[in-house]
Amino acid sequence: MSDTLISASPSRDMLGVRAWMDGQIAALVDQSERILDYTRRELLRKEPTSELLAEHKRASRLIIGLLRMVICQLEDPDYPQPAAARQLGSRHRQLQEFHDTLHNPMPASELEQFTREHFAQDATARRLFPEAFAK
Amino acid sequence: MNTALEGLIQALNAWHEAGEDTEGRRESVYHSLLEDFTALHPGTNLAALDRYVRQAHLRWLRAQQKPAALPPKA
Repeated sequence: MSDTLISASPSRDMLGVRAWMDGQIAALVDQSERILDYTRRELLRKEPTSELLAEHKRASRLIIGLLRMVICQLEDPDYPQPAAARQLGSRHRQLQEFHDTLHNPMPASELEQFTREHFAQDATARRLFPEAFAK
Repeated sequence: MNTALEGLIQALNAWHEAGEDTEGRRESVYHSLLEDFTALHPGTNLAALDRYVRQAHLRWLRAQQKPAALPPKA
């Protein structure tokens, strides 16, 4: 155990673990925000290269799994941290959402069929999915 | 023109852009609109509609980044 941990007040701070944990959570929130911002800027608003898409898939899967584990720990009745769990939960949902959109999209044939079946008269659908009406 | 798909895309975008204080409400609005659509159009699968709107949102976002085409010279 490091000096930082044992020098903290044992009675109020669980031997420094609580303060250390708070720091780790803040870092995780910060890193999640950075990945979310990067995803919005470089992968959602632009057409990414296949290399960037593959790298993003690995990175986002890793952080989504990590967040899931930490949230599970924060919901443990022995160490409940509902506010931190909510904070991380919101990033987790957003990252999962972006991951699904980018890496598990609806196949092109289904997109076209769905457009024709449900949005045949919709001007926005006709603008965004012209290929559905080209045949 | 605000079409049904445009409304769904805008609601999803508002959720994505929301800060921590409004995120929960924006998410609820988006899911309510999905449910409203399926109620008005029986036979529409909710999960498929959600997936479809996400792809539409992606195209909508990227289309907004592209500069408008120059008008043809007279």
